[in-house]
Amino acid sequence: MHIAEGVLSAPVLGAGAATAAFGIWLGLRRLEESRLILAAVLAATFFLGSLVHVPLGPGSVHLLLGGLAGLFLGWAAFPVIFIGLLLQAVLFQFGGLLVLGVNTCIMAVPAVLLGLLLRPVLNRGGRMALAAGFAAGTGAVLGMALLAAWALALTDQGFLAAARLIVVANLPVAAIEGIVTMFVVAFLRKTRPDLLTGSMGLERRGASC
Amino acid sequence: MPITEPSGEDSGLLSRMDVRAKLLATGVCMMAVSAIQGIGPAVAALGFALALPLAAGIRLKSVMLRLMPANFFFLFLGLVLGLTYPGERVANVLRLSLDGLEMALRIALKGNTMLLIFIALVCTTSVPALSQGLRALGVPRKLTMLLALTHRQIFLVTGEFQKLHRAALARCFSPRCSLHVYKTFALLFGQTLLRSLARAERIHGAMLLRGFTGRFHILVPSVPAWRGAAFAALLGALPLLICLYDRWPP
Amino acid sequence: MTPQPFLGLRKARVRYPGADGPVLDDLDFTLHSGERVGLVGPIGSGKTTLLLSLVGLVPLNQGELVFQERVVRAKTDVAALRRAVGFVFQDPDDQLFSPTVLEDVAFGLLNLGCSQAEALDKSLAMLEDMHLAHLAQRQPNTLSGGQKRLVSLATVLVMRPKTLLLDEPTNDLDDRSRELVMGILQQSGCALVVASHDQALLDDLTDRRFSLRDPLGGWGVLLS
Repeated sequence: MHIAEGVLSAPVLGAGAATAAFGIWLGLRRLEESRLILAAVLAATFFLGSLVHVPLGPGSVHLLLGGLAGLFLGWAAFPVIFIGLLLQAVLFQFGGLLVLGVNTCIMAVPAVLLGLLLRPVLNRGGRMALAAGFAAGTGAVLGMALLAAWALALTDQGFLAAARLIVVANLPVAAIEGIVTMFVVAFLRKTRPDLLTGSMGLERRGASC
Repeated sequence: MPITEPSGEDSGLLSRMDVRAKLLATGVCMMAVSAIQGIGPAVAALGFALALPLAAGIRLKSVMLRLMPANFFFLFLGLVLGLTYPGERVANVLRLSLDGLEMALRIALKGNTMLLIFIALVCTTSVPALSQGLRALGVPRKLTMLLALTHRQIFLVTGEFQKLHRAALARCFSPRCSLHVYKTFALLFGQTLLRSLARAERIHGAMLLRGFTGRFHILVPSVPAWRGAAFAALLGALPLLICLYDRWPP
Repeated sequence: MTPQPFLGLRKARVRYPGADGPVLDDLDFTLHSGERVGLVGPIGSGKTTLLLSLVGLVPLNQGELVFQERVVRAKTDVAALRRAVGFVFQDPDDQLFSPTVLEDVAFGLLNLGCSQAEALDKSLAMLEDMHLAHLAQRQPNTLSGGQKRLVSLATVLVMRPKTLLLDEPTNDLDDRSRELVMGILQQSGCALVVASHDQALLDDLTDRRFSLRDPLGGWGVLLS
């Protein structure tokens, strides 16, 4: 979900950039330099999500997988999502440069918050883990839509109708994201249960031998 | 969707400019454009921006294609704003709002202008060069490294996914709107994620074998003088002048 | 003068978590200075595992890793071993992670403490030697399979290892690239351990073979 360049007002853009900078700073502090290659591989994998189009009604939508990123990366999801959006802007001209801060916040804030909130539920494994996956996937998209709508409404009261439309249009996307995220969690539960209970290892100290 | 690589090897004038100068010029140009309010000055800025990709040696067709996704959004915005924006209405069947249409037009003009500047100045830079340029401008090392490393991995990860996806298609998987399809996509993605983790382990191992101790020592290219600084200033000056004219007309 | 044992495993046992049985069991392997050994065995017989455990990337469940007649235990021992032994992975994409070819070649040198200028000079010289200088500024994802393989060799050879471990070095190479790789290995003067199914390559390159048992039975035996 990207807000295009040229839509938002300067104060909204500024606030978005500042919040994004803070979030990225926090995320980077928790990211071990020795594990940077792991972060890069995961960032590339989540970037892949935005290239995968899943069918929805007569058309298709691309995956966002913000909830999944939040669940597995925690605060590190902030810089990872930022890099993903920057690459999308450079490679595909989705979004832009001045709105990059706002777009990062729109995606990363719900992802990180839901990730922190639902991670303990995911750790319990079993059916609860699946529920956590669904909630993270759905919640992240709803959060993104609400934040995007908020950014528009803050810019100009006249945007309210467009903002509402964006939220409504994203309801089916939220459902799909929830389902896909849940199935990914179910797959990992079968293949690598340690990933649900442990961590991806981004914060491991020092280099392993 | 195929990844089209910004090659940074276009023959145009702009692709040879210092990356830092390009990034700074982009920032100045974009901020100036974003502050413009009047329709006239916005049109003038768009005219200026249209010349940039051509100077950068990008073909017009490619530019138009890249502008498409954003313009779908602007069209949507124009429709919604025209129908719902408060204020004076035009006396016709749809009762469109004049203010809303003007607003949408301004957004579309400015949005396209900014995208054109971005395409000409940033998208002509390869991602490795971009990450070095950002580093030179003071962006934290970890973040610029993450950018360069991620860019390299994207091609490998998408390759892995495509292999899996093709294998699924070969077994009569047809994307429809069903639970089975969503589950299959989740499996393909989950499998790619596992392969990525395994790859990360292997790369990490290969790095350790080449003496990696947890801190990246990277080859810093000798920093050239600020070639193109004057050019960047010149580039930034025009949108700034348009913006000043717009805000404080003589 | 009889060649000195350089690198080896004693009574090594490796078992991956969750696996049915050990991949390597009670295995003895010795590489002497300057020796060139071909590693053969069916898929799943543990060729890659043996190579990885020789550089300490796969920990042994039992047995010892021996380097220059000393058992490798401390981290400093591992560092010394890895400085002397170069490793070329089966998939060049696992090795080439840097944004450009030149940066990847310089990576190891910078880790060894070379200055920027020195690393740059040596890397360029290495690429020049291998006729790869024109690729220096290229991004690895734009290279062909053969070019990737040659560059991944360059990233290891530039560190001047005494011994080179190679995992299927001619996998998916065309004849021309294969010739190039063989030529470079012949000239390198390194001791070699080459895991491969490419019989012709092993005939040309190695002095003896070490065959690993079928995963279903038998021991690793020295053939000749």
